[in-house]
Amino acid sequence: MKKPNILSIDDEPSFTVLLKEYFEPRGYDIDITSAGDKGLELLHEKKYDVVLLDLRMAGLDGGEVMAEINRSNAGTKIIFITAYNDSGKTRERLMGEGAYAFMEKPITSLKRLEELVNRAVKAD
Amino acid sequence: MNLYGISNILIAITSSGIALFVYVKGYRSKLCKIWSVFALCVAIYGFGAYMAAGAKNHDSAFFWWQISYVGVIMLPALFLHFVYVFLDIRKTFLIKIVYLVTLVILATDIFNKQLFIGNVSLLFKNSELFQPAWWVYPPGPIHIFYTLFLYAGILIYAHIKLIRAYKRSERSKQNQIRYFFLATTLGFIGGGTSFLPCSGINIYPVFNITVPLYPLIMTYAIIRHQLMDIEVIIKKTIVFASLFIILFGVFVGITLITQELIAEGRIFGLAISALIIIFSVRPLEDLLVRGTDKYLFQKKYDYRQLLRTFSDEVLTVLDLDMLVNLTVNKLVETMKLFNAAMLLHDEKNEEYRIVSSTGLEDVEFKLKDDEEIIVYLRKNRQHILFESEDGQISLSGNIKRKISGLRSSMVIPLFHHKDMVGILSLGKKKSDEEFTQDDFDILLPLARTLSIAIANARLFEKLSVAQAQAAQREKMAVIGTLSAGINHEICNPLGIARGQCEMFLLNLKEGLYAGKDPEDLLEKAKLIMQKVIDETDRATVITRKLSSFAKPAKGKLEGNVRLKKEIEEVASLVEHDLRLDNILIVREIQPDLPYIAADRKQVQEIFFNIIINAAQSIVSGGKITIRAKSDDKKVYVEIEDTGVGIKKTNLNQVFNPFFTTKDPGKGTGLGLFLVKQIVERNKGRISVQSEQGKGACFRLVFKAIVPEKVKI
Repeated sequence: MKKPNILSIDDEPSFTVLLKEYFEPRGYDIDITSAGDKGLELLHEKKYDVVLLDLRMAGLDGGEVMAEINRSNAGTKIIFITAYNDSGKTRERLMGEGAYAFMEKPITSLKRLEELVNRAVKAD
Repeated sequence: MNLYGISNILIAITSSGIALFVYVKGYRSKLCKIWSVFALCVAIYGFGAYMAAGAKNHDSAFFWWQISYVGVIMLPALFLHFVYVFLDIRKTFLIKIVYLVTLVILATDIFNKQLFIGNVSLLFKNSELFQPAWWVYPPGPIHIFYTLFLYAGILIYAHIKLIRAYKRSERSKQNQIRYFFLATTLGFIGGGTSFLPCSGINIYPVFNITVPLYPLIMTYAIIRHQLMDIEVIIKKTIVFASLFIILFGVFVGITLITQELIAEGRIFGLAISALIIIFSVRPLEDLLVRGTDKYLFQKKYDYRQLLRTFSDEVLTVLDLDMLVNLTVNKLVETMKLFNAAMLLHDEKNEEYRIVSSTGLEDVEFKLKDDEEIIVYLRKNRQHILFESEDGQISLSGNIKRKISGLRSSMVIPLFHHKDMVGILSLGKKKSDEEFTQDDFDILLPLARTLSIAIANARLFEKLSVAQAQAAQREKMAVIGTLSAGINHEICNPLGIARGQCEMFLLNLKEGLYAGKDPEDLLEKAKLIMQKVIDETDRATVITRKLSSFAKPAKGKLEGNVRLKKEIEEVASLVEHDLRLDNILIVREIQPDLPYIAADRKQVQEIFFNIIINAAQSIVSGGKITIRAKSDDKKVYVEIEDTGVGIKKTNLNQVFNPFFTTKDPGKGTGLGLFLVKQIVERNKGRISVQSEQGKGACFRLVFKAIVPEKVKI
């Protein structure tokens, strides 16, 4: 089975680089960007199975990017990875709006993230 | 009028005035009552003698001498009675006998013309200066008995009593007894010279003039009864006596000269004397006071004025430490004390503890709330004098031992409403003098003022602490809302560092590195480790900044605060967060900005609050511009935002406490209020300019420190 296509959008470039370095050698197709609008451009050009999305970003933030994905890229799973923590309020809201999962930074295991990505694709 | 007449009219006037004064002042005290009757009798003596000596004829003189002697006869008995009461001698037998004898003699004076007065004669017929005067001569047998046994006898007996008591007495009482001796010398002996012509010794009773001083001195000693200052009264006596002698000399001299020169000399002379006396009495008195001060007492009594001035000043001191130190030092210095201390109540430890002292070895001295002396002071709310017997308290040896560490001569409780906020302890005067009523007149009001000043200073301290706490809470609350930015700056590096390591290990485990050149692998590992180090450093920087920022301010001004650095520190802390809200921080800061004298943390708080406030006023994206420039004397900072601005009507309220336009629960309304307080505490000024819809601009001015004064 083909491994999922991943898009990572995070305003912390070193983090997206880390993800790329992890996922690529494991056979995933992964694109990275550090701005929301750039991410949306990529989404228009290519179909991604999973988007790993930061929440708070200058310019378009994670919530806005998700809304756009929900509108134009139905079926793309969104996993939020963020340091933002307001005791679960935002998490609940975003899950309610269709996010697949919510992971808090610092992520404690790349392995678990990988499993999560795989589960997300299989969930359909 | 002759000299004798003048001295007698003086006696009559001063003594009757004193009789009334003493009675009004101390009508409850037995001592004062006796003394006022005594003074009244002296007045009767003076008035009678005045009328008698200048009488027109024999009968009139006789009558007035009878009246005069009513007063005189009473004096020995009253004096003895007075001494008994003063020395607290309980046996009254002798006094009763003496009063009885006095009554008998009074009766002979009034009812029998021969037995007491005998007869009266015009004496000093040839005296030009003093003029002739009617005198009791030759006296009756009872008169002789009276003079020898009552007048002289009782005087000697009473003084023996006083001398004995003097040896046993505490110092304050000794002081009073010294007055008595001084007064008696002037009064009884001066008055006694009036008896000389009666006994056929024709010496003019010049010393009668000292009699008015006698009741004056005694009265002073009684009214200022607890303690007194012998030097002051001696000084006053010297001034008064010299003044009198000089003026009298002028009067006599001018009268004599004018009498020689002109026929109507006497009236003319009187007029000139009166003029001279009127115009010279004040300057002469000043001269004498200054002279005695300068040559005899070296101005040491000026401290009272100093202390009075200090009482006025003390209320303006709001720093508690400064207040207590100032007080203790001022008291020691002006009153010339060996030592002094101020104890303040420590509610937490339930004790009174020395907060400032001079001349004490045990500077840590404290008294527990349940200590006997504390209980006593709280109950009685009165000062305690330790070296005096007539201080209203007899202290147990235990108390005296307990507070021996204070080496107090007196302690004054400081009451504010119901609370005894502190205790002022004063040691001995270096002059070895007692504390006098004059001292109390200053110290006790000073203590009251001090109590208020201490309460004020404490309140101010509490308020400052409360304000600092509020500022801290506000700061922490804002840091909380900044968590996104802070988390971002901490969690990302942590996640990346961890991820890099995890990835390397997983790659190794899952065989992704299989067949790789060990050199390449080592390179890879090195790269990862460098990344981990970089990311850890990044996290460290932000935690350091955060912890230094979160620390409460010290409240001390330092002379080397660099505004540029502090602004940068704050800006970097909030910048990330603001960027997420699309707020840009623009810096226009002059590179060589001078130092300012301030508390570094407080300066950070100021900028933090203003920047956050500015950011909160920006709805969707905008700019905060921080400008800073300086001239020779001042550093100017502007923080301008592109937010919603402030309504004109609110403009003068933004620095008021609890003023907020934010939704309930969103703002405490303390932010800008605290900012203003802190700015002022750091010797700066803050103002705001704004137009609704066009943003706001906060302007701050601090005093620049000239470079050579900077401590590096």
